Amino acid sequence: MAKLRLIGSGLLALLFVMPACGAEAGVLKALRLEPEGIVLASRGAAQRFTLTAIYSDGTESDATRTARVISLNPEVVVVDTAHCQFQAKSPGLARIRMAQGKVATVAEVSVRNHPAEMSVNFSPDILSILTTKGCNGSGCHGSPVGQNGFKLSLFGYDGAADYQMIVKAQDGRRVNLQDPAKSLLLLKPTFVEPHGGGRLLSEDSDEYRLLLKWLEQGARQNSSGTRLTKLEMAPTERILVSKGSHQSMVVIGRLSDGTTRDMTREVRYVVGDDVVAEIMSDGTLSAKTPGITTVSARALGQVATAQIGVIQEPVGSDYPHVKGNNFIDELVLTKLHRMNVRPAALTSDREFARRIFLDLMGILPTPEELHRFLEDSRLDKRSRLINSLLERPEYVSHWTVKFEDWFRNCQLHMQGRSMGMFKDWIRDWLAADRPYNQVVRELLTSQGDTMLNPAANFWLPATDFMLKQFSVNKVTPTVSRLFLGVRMECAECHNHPLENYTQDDFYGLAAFFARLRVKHGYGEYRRTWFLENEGDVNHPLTKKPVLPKFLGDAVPPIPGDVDLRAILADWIVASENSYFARATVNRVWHEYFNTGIVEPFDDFRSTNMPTNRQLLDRLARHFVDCGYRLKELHRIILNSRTYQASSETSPGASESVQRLLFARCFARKLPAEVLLDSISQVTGVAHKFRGYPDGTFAKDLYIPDNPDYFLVTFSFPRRDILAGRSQSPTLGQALHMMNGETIREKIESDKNILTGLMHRGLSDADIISALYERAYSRLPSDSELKAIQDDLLVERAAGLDSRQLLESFLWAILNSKEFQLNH
Amino acid sequence: MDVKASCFYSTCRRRDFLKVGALAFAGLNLPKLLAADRNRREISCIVLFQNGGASQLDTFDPKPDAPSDIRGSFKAIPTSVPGTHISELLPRTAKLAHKFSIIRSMHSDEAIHERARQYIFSGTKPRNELLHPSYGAVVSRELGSKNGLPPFVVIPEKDLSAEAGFLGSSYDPFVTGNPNTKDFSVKDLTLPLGLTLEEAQARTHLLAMLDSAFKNVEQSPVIDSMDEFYRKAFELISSPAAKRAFNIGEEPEKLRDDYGRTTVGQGALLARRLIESGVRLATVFHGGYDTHVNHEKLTQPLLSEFD
Repeated sequence: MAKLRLIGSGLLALLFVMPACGAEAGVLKALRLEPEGIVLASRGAAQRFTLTAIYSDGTESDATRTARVISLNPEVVVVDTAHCQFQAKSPGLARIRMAQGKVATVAEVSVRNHPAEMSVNFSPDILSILTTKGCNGSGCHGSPVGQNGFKLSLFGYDGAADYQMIVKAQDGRRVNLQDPAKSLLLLKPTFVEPHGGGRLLSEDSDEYRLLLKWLEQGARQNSSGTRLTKLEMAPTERILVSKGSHQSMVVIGRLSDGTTRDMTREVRYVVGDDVVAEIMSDGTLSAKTPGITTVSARALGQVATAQIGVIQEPVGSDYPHVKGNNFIDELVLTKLHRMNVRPAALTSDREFARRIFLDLMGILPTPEELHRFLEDSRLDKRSRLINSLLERPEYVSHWTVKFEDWFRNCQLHMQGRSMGMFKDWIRDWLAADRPYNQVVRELLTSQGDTMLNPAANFWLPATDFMLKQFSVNKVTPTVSRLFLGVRMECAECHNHPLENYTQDDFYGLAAFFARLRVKHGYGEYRRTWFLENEGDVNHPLTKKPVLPKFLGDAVPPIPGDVDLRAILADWIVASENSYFARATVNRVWHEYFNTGIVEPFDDFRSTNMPTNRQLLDRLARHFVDCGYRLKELHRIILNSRTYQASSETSPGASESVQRLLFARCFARKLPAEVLLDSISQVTGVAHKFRGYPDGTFAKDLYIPDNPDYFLVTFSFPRRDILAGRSQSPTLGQALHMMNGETIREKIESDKNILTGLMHRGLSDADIISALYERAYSRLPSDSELKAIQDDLLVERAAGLDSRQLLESFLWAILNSKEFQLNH
Repeated sequence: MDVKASCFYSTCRRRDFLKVGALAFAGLNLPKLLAADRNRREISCIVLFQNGGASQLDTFDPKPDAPSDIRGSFKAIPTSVPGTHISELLPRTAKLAHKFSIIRSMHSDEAIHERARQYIFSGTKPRNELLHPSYGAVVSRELGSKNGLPPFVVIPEKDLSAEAGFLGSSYDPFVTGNPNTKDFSVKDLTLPLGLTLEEAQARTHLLAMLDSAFKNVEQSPVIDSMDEFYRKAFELISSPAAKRAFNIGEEPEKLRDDYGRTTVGQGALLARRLIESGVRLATVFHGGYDTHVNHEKLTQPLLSEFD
């Protein structure tokens, strides 16, 4: 079946030409040396490097082995071209010249005067060995219970505890300072003593010698006090062409004494999607299959990441030249071009109308609305449709439900009126399009009687129903996920071994809520929230009060007698805070594409990079510039060609790459309320909700106290948790659609659409077409129409009358994927 | 498999149940255990759950030697295991004591029923951000279905604690409805009145036609899994064997009377019937133990149903 493609009639007036997207190869513009700021500690120290060639079309490629790299001060630093590394000769500053073609650049490398024979430190030297050899991995001694009594912190995030365990615990049985070579620490990994982890070290390895030297020097914890403060990996972004091509990744550690250290071979590498690429322990990355993945390197509680794309073949001259509608397209198309993925064609007007009605308002376009749009011949009619739909009450209804999900308007904690008032509060600010930063500030500083100040219902899911207490530990992860896009829940109990957030961060954030208290009304579910003048959150380890601290490091000054939550709220919604706008735009983006620019959409962290960082940043800036107006955010997304791309499968790129880079639209299930309302719309029979007037839409229900069977079956969410709605289909859903009373009553009703159409004396073909248009917003093709009629003829021969045949057809329409999905 | 042994954990041997339970409570790896077992033998299990928090004093831990202000108002009776006493409200259960184990040390610090149930059915302390899957959902995911029947069944009503959580609703249980009703039939399993199987098949054919046209254009994992469930649904509707599994009416009247003409009695019998037919884990909820007032009067009939 060919879908109708009315490309052209729906183009916007906002076209502009994409400068970066063309088939012509770019011209070499610059060379970039990485890592920057190399400070070698002493003579003999070395640091690997990479060079990146940057072209005029914005593309980049590896030039480490093609460019000429020479040291202008060879007495200080020499260039070891065979290993692509700088080697320190004497203290001083060396200028390094790099050249390729007509482009040349100079960079600096400095060498410090640390003693030639450095003492071996527990951190980072010994911890690095434990990490690279996998000793402190989660499957070995890094597991929560360790192995056979020997427990290490996961990937060495807690060096002090590991030192205790190795040197002091169990009377120091693991080290033998009198005869260092007899230490258990060496006998186990060399398998002289039986070791469950097998033989991991040979006696002639560098690691063995380093461990031995450390023991000989007295197994000191940290003689110089040097710590690793930062890890960087280069290149941070690279696209590899064709299977088997390589890229040498380089890792540099920045130490607290101001020097740097080549840690390329001292980190643990992990490839996010190991189908795409693999990496050796020396940092050599190889392309496997086309795709996109994050590579991370970890050591000593620090992590560095890079994004790697693998493409089948370089961009050819037949790559389509596509025009975008706005900056979203510019950034998406640039990425698609680099990854050699073809953008899908533009949707037809009919597809566009159905998609945007469902996405923005949760309803189908009526035939009249559809025809009005199709007949509009103005060039900017899609923009006009977007603008008009944003002003409709159904937009408010539909998006209110999403915010109820997000703000957890749940019946487990709220009864009747309170829940309804919270819903109305959301409705009101959505309808007025109040700046979202103000809304969030109001929410986070809300207090008082929940019946008088509905925003205060936000705190209810964080109370313990029976104990009648408010738990800061329950609200902290919620606020963090919703408004910062960061999942903090692991840090409640332990430092996150792989990420930068610690228990200190968790309790620092929790401390802002420490003075919030709740009073319960007697015999009903009415609560009053108020603030006390004092109140602390104690750190679970130190048992001491924690000072309020923003995520990151800043500890704000706390003037006495102030609502701490207001300080936090002001920080969260401040325009210079990159978390809030990014988390919000990503959440909204996810609603339209079912895939966030960061995915999972509320899991921002260093090892989960955005697939298109520029897009995320630009969209966040746009949101801030527009005064945090959600309608403006909808408008820019919906007007983009990216949103308006067809869902048609295109050959070439894999499904996952198309999904991650937004090359086309992907079909998604309609949420429970939308599906039910759509069924009512198509059949012309309103669903009856107990206690509500006829014709009430499911999304306008206040209290799902006795939720409709249909809504429950189609994954109406539990809102006491933040988990969101399940997209996966179930057996119960299939059975209810096929056999359940919801569909049956509506197709058999004598007041339904079939009765109306038949009454008008329409032919079967016309009725079939009318139903197609109501459900799919399109007409059947001639071949479809014929196939359906043929099928119905067979049934008629079996003795069914016209009405029964059409009921069967209506049943099939409602059960079809094309109806149940938005696409 | 000996399904007649006991109504508690029928076909799952006691120790195995304890093993699964203990592992889950320690937060350890149920999938691993299942994977290890997969090649050895089938796992089948019935969970009978007293909803609302049955008092331990009036059931399995009467504390006959405790001071009177700790004891309940009911007496303890000896069981078939010398030295073990349970409440006099469970005389029939007492005779079977040599076939089950009692754990008296369990407790929970969750005060909300829903969350406490979630705790016990997932083995993980409930969090505000994430719903952990219940055992049944893990069994569904790891072992899949047998004989075309859903692997995980809940009797009689859907319960928030027996869900798939982050595994995705595909692994949610199949809910039967109350089997202790006249002309009981599972919701949505029987064809609408007046529709023959042939007609239903014709409808499905029409549907397949519409879907195949759409699939030429669209490809998405969600489409494939919807297809899969439609296929399974039709199998259930059309397979006489599957239908029979849910048809408790085929059980002899005498046996139905023995199980008790109550929701829990018929629920337990239906669970047994389903396990015999290929369901892997059936959970029967027996509700109403949340007796804050009038405790003795309310508990007595419930426990007599249970017994």
